[in-house]
Amino acid sequence: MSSSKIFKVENRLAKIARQPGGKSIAEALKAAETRIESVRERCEGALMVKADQMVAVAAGDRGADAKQTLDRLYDIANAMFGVAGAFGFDALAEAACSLCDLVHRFRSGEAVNWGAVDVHVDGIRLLANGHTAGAESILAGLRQVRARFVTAT
Amino acid sequence: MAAPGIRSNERVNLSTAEVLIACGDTDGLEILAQMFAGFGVHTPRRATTCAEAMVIVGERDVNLIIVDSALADGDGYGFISWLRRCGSPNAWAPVVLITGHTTPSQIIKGRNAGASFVVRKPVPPMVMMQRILWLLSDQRAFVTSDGYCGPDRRVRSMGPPVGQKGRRHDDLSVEVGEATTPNLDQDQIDALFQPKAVAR
Repeated sequence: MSSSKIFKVENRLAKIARQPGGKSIAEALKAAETRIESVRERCEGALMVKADQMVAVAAGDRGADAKQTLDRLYDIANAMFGVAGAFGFDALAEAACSLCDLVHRFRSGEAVNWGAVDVHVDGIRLLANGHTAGAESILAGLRQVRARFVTAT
Repeated sequence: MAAPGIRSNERVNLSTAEVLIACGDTDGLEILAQMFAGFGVHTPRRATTCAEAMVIVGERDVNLIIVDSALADGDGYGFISWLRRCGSPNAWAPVVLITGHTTPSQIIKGRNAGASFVVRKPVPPMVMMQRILWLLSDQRAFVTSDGYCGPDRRVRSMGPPVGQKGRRHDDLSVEVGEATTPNLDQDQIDALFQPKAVAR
């Protein structure tokens, strides 16, 4: 016998947020954008550090502990995707997401193609270090590699 | 320019709201914390691990929880599942789950863990604010059962499955039964719209 219960709960957030004062939505959005912009430099630097970490991790164990290597690569690429996207580094965000797609595939049982991983890691390192002029050709190459392993969604 | 459904002159007061932000990546955490500070939250509570987030939930009355799917010592799904059954009023707090690289199965996993909303990165302030405004008017009931604990996942009320009795006291079947009184004819309908003299 299932013991399910369905009940109403007080919306405490609404009670607080509807108190007098506060900010208009326009003011809140402007302030949020300004504050995010204030950490841009720090985050840009962190993207380069993460790219270097990714290179080091990719050079690690590809044998018995390959799963650990893939997990770590996925975590770094996933974090880079979020930070790059927040600051409009669209090419870097796409490359990081593409590596996540690949690694997700390889962690799901498909044989790991380290060449495909390496080309992504190299591309991400270049994009994170500001090689925006060649971004489109880097992305074109990564899209081709990704397409070999990941079916279109 | 405001997103659909957002009135830019509408006011929201988050200055006294207790907001917990959990994200395994310190830079991602910093971005979210700055966003909420901009929204007016006095001191966003930060956590990079599930363990830290659990401590904050145990110490404070939390009004809103923002949790990334990737935490330093686990994942956001596990934290939400724990939260929903933790036994304190914080179990009912609204939770926005943020995902980076996102597969459809992760969306379902987040929903089944008990997230109020799942939002894919990047999350601009406009999108986050929109979710907050939705949460302010969220009327969803809370469900606890053996297999699920969280806000009612039936966002659209379609009635209970055909042939089954609903579990909610106000559930109505989507099947319409036979009329129990005669239908109004057109004259009767028209009469409802005609002005009538009112005795004073």
